[in-house]
Amino acid sequence: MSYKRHVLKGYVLLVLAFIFAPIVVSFVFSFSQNRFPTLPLSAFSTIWYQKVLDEPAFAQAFGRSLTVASFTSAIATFIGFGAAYVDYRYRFFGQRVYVAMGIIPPMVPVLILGVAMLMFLSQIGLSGALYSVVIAHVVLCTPFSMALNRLRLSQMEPNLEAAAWNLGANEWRTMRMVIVPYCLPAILASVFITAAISFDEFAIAWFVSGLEETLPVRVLNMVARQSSPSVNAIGSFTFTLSLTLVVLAQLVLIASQRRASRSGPGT
Amino acid sequence: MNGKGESNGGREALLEFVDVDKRFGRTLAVSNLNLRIGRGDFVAIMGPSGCGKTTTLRMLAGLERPTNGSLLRDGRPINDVPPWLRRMPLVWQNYALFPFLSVIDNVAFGLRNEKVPKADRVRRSMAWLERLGISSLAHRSPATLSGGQAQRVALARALVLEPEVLLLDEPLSALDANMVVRMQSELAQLQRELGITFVYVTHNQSEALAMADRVVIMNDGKVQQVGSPLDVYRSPDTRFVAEFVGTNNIMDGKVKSVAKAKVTVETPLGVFASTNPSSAAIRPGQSVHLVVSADMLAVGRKRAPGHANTVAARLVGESFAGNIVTLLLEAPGGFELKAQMQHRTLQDLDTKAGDEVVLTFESGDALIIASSPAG
Amino acid sequence: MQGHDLAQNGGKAAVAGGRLSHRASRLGFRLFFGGPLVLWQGAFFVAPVAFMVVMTFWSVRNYQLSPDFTFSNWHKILTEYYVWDAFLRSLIGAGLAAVLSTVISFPCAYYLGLKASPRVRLLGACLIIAPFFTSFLVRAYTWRTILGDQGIVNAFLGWFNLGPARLTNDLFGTVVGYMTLVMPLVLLLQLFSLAAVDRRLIEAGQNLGCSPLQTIYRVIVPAARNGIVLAAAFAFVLSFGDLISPQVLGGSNPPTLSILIVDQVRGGLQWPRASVIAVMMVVTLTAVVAAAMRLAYRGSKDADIR
Repeated sequence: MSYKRHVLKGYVLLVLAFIFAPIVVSFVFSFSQNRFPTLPLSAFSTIWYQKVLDEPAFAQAFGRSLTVASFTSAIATFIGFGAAYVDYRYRFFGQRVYVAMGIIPPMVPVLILGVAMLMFLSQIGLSGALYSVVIAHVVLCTPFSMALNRLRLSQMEPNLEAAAWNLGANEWRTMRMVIVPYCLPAILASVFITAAISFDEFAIAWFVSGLEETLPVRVLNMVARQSSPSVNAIGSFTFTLSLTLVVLAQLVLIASQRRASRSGPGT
Repeated sequence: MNGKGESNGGREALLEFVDVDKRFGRTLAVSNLNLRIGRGDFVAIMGPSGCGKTTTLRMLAGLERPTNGSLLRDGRPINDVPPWLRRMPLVWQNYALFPFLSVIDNVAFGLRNEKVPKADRVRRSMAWLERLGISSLAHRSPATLSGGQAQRVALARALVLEPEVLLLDEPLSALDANMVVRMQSELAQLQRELGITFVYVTHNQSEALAMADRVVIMNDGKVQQVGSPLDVYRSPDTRFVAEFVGTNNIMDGKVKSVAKAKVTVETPLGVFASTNPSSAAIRPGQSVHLVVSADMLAVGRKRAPGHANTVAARLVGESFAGNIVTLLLEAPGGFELKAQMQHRTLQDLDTKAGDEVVLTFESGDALIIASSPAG
Repeated sequence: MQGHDLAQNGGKAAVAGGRLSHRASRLGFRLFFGGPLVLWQGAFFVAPVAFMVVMTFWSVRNYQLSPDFTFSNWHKILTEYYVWDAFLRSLIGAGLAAVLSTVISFPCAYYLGLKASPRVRLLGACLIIAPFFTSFLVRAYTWRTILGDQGIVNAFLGWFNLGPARLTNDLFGTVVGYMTLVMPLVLLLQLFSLAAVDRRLIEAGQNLGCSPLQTIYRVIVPAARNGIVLAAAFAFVLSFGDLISPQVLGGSNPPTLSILIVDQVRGGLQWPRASVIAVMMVVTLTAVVAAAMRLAYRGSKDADIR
């Protein structure tokens, strides 16, 4: 009985090992002096990190990724929040189609989205620039913002908004003084998560950005051309950055959860 | 059926519903509502779940718009006035305190909307917190409050605005029994001191009867009766009110004869006389309800001479509620009756379950309510 | 603001002239918050996809794209051998990925979802979520260094004088890539489904004399069927559209549909033809997902205990 259980546990570890193998290996080899990552391990060195930090092209690409991620995150969070609120508060004709527009994009293969966006945007002269990437990323990320905010709104005390109106706040004031403060954990979470998604997204960016490479696109081009261990360094960088963003989002959500669960009315 | 509530002492109506209907999809939540609420009144709207009382309150607050009819304030229609301009703060059943604001910020919320300067906001809010005995909670978070404390914060938040009208939606329903009693007397006292018009919705009749000047009984979207607590308790206008308020015995029957002051009614339990018909005209042969309040039924061991209205019954059970005991009795034909008396009286009677007893009631204590399709 | 000023008139102006501005303000409110989604997604999601369908009927003459209504693109693509070859390759690759990931993930999800303590389950879930926030690109590339001709595995084999194994530039590499892409998602979905299985059903099965294996086959899998099928469907969709795995780990030749699309777009600007292939992909995926949904939700909602 217990030997079977051990086997099962071992299996689980094996599966997890498969999942983490590339992550761990990449991390390890980012510190390896040898240009060609292979066994046996060569000396410990931070040369590749140095190279990444020194080369202006990387810094540029990184900067572009940050720019795109920031704008995407801001726009997608706003649109997603607004859509979630409208879905929460109103009943209207075509509501299902409305919601569908807000959740379908991530289900379409990124490749197809990228191609479609490239063709459409270049026809209307909006492709080949960083804002093209922003446009496309917002399409992809808005659903996440909408889902997060919709969830948070569904947890709100049903009369909270009405209470604010009743006390003299019109719709705009209520939004500013009640709805937004209440939804702040979800808004922050969606800022971080949409930024993380945009930062890592390469397929659409590759199609649409033309010569203005974002970081993942640069990596993609490098990978296509040659083996470069700098990629490992970049990979570790972006992993750490994304992880930080996600952990921050989690902390914000957990903190608001804890405040709410200190039981009592009026939450 | 009296649908209009006249205000006390000739004071003009502050709020008035005129022929108001409210429809949700196909359901008629409120129909043909005509109601006047005077300045300084404490009006309780009472009824079972789904009777339309909360919808009525929400229409006052502007959270629902009447489908037909007008809602008037000082004679002017306010159907189209949005909730934030109504100046009728609501004390919510679940308090609806803003969880991300401290207690004092909650209380000051409405003042902020009126652009009252900060110093005044703080001063007025603190004053109300002190008045309600919760000033020590000023900087706490709502999540840390008990039910009674949160209720008072909700109250302070509404009253700090010094409104003409205060709306209350079952504010005590989430509190435990001793808190309820305390809050009831506090609320009644506040209303008297401030002279504010209170519109209070509840499904609990003891709350309504204890606190209100006027009680509105609703069922199924319609007003059944409007009157003082005593009126509604002692002189129900409809069968529903007789069933809903107090403990009444209701017998269905036909009018046998109508004399100057006395009406006799034939019921399955016998023929009874009443000198207390309702205001509607009574004709012989008409279907009516004969209503006798449980505390008007006297219980005796044997038939006493000289009483016109008697029923023989068997004692089936007792329901003991402190000082008052409710006796459950079964009359011939399986008809259930209830009698209420003081515990002392019961002890003097010395009866036990299964005993045969004789119930009597005065003709002046028997009410006649006309039967109508709406009850 | 507007609403507030009117309030200071005691509501009188609200009745007189304020009504119109109330309505306008409230409409503006709704449009401000609800409008952007329609505008943005309409213009940048619905329109591009619709445009892509239209594009399938355009023509390219002398490297010039021109609006047209011709079936020549469809004809060309649908009659080419290499297109169907790529289609089959994509289909088989994605199918393998779906089946393999489902089968491989199941015992792991079973343990974490039903056998492990809640703490371990949470830890497991966190570990599984972590890869979502790494770059898939980097992970795929790293697999290439691990599996490559001069990579870690071959270096390791070389110590034992075992011949170099060709692990990349063929189907094996591609499938490893797909697995890297979809396993976390499949694991997660299966984990949630299995953890949500009503324990009483399991107990009933054991009560009726099922061995652990039989319990899995006859009780648990049917109960979690929806989640398992859904996960497999996601795995299929993701793999079918992936262009990294076949390129980085599969050697690009012979190509999959995804690579074909990229080729058509990059060399020769054959957008109409690329669109045709893209539409083919979407139709295929829709059919597969629809079939999967029917498979998942057919029959009663409760698990059958056969």
